[in-house]
Amino acid sequence: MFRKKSDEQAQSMTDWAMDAPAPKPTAPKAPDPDVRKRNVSVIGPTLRFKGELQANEDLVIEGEIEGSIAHQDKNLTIGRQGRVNADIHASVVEIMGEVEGDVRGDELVKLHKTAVVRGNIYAQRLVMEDGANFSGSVDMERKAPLRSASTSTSASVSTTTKQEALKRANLSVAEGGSHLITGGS
Amino acid sequence: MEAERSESLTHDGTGREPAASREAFKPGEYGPSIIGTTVVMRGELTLAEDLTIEGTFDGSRIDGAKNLAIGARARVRAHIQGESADIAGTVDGDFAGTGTVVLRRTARIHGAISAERLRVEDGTNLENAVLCGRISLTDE
Repeated sequence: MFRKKSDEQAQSMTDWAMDAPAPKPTAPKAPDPDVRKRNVSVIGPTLRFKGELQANEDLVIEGEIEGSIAHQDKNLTIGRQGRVNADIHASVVEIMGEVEGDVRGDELVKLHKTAVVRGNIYAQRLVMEDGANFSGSVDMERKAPLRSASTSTSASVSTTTKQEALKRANLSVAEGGSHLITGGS
Repeated sequence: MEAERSESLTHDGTGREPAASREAFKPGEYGPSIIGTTVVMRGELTLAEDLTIEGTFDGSRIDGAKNLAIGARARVRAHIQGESADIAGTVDGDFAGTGTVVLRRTARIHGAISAERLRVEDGTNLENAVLCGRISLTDE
């Protein structure tokens, strides 16, 4: 509750469309040029990295990566120019570039029309756009979701991402509200 | 100094927006490379653009960074070759640059820094550092 301001801001920065809004709206602050608006890491188009990469924030890859990518419950985007020769693990994986390796998305794997994927996909939900190039197998076996247990009750079959995000938002707003009351008394 | 720093970091000639106004995150529209605070990289990295490291890089080398910014919470273990650098974090390794290196007060250097020009902030701890180049002290 009494987190430092910077922590709170960092938290709100990591929320994006898929995540629940912060329980308490933070007052708008004067823009600080040194603080990035969103916690998004970018691997630029000229970057080539060999090795292992771990992250707990949203990551966009436009460069070349060889090795392994281990993400926690965040989003990974492989941009149009991105070329990845690695096993990937993240919550939401969006692919617009080339991937050679297994792709594991705890929540969603989305192949855009420019995607070229050679490897297996393990995901609860899979979206493949017309034109996407994929060779490998798909395993959509349902496991316990990565997030809190409360979401698993509401995580029945939902048709669209938006609906699920909304549902989750309601849920955690309610939780946040009760937390606020108990915290205030 | 501050203005110069931000200028050097966004100087890529593509007219990209400054980081602060990049609010709406759309895949396909992003600025220069950023290794964020929660990122841990082990390996070797080559590039030909600006790079900001705020996380951990534990590897052998970083080659070709044009303007390298190492944030105050960053920890970098690598031999680095590049142009210019602005170092506020921990660097364990050597840096060989052709441009200007700015060492901030919070910087911790374990290695040799060589560059055309070096600017060292007043109060910087250079206990384990070797500096080669034209050095000037700044008070900002």
